[in-house]
Amino acid sequence: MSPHGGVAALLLLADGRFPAGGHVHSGGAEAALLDGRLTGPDSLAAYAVGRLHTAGLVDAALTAAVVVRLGEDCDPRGCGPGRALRLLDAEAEARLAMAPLRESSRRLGRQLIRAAAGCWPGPVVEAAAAVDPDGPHQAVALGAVAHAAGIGPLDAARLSLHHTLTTPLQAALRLGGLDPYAVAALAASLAPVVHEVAAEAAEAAGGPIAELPCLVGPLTEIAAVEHAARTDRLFAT
Amino acid sequence: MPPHDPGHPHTHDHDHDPPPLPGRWQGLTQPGGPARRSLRVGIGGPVGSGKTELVSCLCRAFADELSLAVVTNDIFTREDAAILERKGVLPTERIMAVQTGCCPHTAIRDDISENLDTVEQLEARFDPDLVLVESGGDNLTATFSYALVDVQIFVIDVSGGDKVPRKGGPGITRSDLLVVNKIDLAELVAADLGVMARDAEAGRGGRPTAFVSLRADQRAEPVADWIRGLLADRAAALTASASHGA
Repeated sequence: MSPHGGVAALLLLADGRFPAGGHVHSGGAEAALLDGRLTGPDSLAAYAVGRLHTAGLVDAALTAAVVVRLGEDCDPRGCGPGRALRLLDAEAEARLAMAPLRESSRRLGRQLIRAAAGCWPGPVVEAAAAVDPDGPHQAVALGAVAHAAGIGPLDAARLSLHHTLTTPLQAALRLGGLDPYAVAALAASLAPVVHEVAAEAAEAAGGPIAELPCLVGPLTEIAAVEHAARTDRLFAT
Repeated sequence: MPPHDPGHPHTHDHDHDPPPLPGRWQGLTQPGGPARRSLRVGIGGPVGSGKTELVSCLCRAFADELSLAVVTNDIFTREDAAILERKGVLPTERIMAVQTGCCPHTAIRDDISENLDTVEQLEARFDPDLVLVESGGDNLTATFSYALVDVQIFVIDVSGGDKVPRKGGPGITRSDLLVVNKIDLAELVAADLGVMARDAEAGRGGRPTAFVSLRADQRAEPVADWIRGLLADRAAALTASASHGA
């Protein structure tokens, strides 16, 4: 058991009440509702599965890779956590083709760092904060915070995917007036997908950084750009 | 109305070390850095009570006096921005809107990330004297976190009935300034301003209440004066803090 927190820290970071800014994001669900791709529980399930296998896998693998590299970085050359974090931040940047998504990823990253700085203070969180003037990408921030909180790569990947899953579900619940019990049941039913994708992400995280998964849902990304230009939206993304 | 609330954490007891300015972010980005200059004022209240109108009145009142920035919470449409632009009270780039994911109270109280991030962007860009954070319209329990704002104003109006101050709720009882708007309508809706003043005083532990008609008083003078008092106190506290070598 990690002295920093381990499972207890994992639960804290998975809790929607942790003040890291996630509640104003819909993971593309608002855009999908507005353009008619999301119409009810069935399409919501399909949307969530699609997200887990694309953006979810990319984020989870990056997050897990950060935890792996930070674990290795106690090296005798003493280059510290900064170099690994910058390299992985560049990989995250390269995987975010659309400007609004890059921007919101950094915004969420710095918001997570702000919330985590008081929880797990230390050089890793400080190095993550210093990766970019606008803050680290969200996946890099989550990996750094997970490492600082004593969470391993596989659990970090699960944590990332938990947010990939619950963000659009919660937003669709609010926007679409869905049955909250049905939405909770949907989330529970997708646990095997979360575990399967997390295992894939954790495995990739041990390999070369440049070969981390790189998958996009083109329609979701185009919709995100259109969504960012709307003035009547209730969610940031 | 007293110039400001003597019971608020802005106490000016300088017998020992000056107290830290409330609400100041002491996180990773400014470790031990200088206290920020701007005063952050939250403006909350139910839908239609006059929050946006109060913001435009304050922009007008301070136009030649202060550097100002505004954060609005959804649903801030182009229409709201156009109101401020058309009235010529504030350049558009000094107004930023944030989304709250259908939870206006969460965004100002439980998870202030999005608002705080936006306030800091405006402060970095314009170094304003005053930042107004306008909440989305919400119910009587909505209050701001003091990690986001230094003081908070809660706006109600008489057309909701003269029982509203008696009903209480954190917005009414704990706000630093309660603004009762649309007093010009009191007679039409049979609202007794005396009752509202009495109940507000009883429920607010001596914190001030301002009765205004923003339609008639387009500079919201009682509110502007209250903010001027806070700005003067803040300037004095910052000077004292500097002279203590803090």
